[in-house]
Amino acid sequence: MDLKQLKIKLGKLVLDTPVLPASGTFGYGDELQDVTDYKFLGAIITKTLTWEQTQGNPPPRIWEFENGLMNSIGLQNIGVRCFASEKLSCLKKLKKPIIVSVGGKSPEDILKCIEFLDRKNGISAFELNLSCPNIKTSKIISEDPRSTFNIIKKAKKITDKIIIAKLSPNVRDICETGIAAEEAGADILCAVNTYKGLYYDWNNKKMYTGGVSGSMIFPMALRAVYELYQKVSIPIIGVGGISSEKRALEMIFAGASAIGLGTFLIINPELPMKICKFLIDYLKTNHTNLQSIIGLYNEKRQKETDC
Amino acid sequence: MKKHKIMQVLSKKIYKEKFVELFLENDLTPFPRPGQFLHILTGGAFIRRPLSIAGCTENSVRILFEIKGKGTKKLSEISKGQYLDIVGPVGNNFPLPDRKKEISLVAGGMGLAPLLFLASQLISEKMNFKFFYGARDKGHLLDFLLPKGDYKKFISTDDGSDGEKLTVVEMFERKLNNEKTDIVFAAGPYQMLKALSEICRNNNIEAYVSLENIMFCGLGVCQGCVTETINGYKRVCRDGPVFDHREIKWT
Repeated sequence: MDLKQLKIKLGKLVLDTPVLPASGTFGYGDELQDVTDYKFLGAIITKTLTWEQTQGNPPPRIWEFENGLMNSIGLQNIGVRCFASEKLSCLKKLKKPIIVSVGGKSPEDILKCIEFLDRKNGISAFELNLSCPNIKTSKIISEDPRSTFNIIKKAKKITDKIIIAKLSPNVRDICETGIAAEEAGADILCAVNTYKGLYYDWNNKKMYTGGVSGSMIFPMALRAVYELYQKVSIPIIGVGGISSEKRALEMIFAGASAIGLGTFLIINPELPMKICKFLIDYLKTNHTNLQSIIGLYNEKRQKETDC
Repeated sequence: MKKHKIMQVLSKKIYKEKFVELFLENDLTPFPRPGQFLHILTGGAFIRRPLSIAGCTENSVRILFEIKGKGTKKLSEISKGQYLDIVGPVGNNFPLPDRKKEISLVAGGMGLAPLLFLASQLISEKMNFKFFYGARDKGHLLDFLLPKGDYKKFISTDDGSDGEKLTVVEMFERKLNNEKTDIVFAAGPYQMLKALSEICRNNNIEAYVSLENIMFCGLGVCQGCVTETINGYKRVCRDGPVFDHREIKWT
């Protein structure tokens, strides 16, 4: 399989393939080598790191639906400083762009992480997790365009590295936060994080809140990317319930320059390989290239063609 | 990839209508150790099901499970010659004990599965041990699956329909005076393990317990299956499933 034609530029971020892991389902980046072939992945992305080590939420943390999953991990992680000293050097050996996801209870915490990691070699981009639905003590930044704008503006002053804004879908209009992120200088948008959900456990008669992923969120995630593509001009990483090769291509047709696999990377570790193969076949059959099919069936592109 | 495999079903047996034993071709690397599990896509549920390895030879891997929900129901319908999507072997293992120690295996219900594998290993290492096994009632008792060998077996059911009318933990405690134990390896429901842990603590017995939990990744990356320990939240899939009982904060 000749992967060369799948090379794609998202602004300054150059990816070997448009298939990325989604933060939170990929550990610190090097742990899935026993199950999935990294050559089909465009980059490495860490789980969200916070300034201090974070214990996470008390169990249970996982609930299963017929076609999806709800989680409430609560950003359990070893903290950025421990990550930098213990994990970063292993990731560099993988020879892929390294995207570090950063988060925290306050904007200040997130900025502190960026400031610290900015001095380390080997990191290509920061993904600002502005949208974790499972931190109960703080407001979700990307549910508010103003807060989104402010943190990205500050982050851009601290670092020259690429800034990816991971957006929450739990908003009235995701374009408002997407536009705010672009205006503040974000280089790339990542849409979407998990949807707020509720689970009733019949055994212990309790209700739990969490973030929902899996095939059940795909239509909404696709719509979010579709609408963002019409309103912003920076590249979009489309994430949310992509379960097959066709779903990945649909996300690209809607406007995604790259796609993120979370839940289904775990369920089907061969999915990155299958998507790459499918994309190559598609491009060949249709005598086209990857760049040309981004947003191909989005209303925005259709109008441009009409003119 | 090394731990993601498509493995063929070599044979299937169903006991007492709801217990399923599968032998799969052994394509696993590294060679599994007692306590480890396979994370299996059942086709009937969204996420994989973690199932203990109940035995292993050069050619085959044995799993044993109870039909409980949609996932295990679908898995029970697989036929000889069909294939399963597996991640494994994953998890840690029971530590191999010192030969001089008095060893007891304590299994409650389907906790039998990993201990069958451990018992076979101890037999092949020519180590002495005692096997305590209890189930809810006769309909749930699979004592005929215990490996042949020169070791003492103690069987109980909660309702007394077979073996002694005791829980397996009560039986273990009552025999302590006559059947000396230095180290316990146990698997079974959480409340059973909790009760056993207390007895081991009171009698200064070393114990390793295999915990169960709903799991998503099974590889340690998602942090979904944690249990609270004296050293913070630990992942049942990767730091376990076998834990020193003193490490667990029982709830």
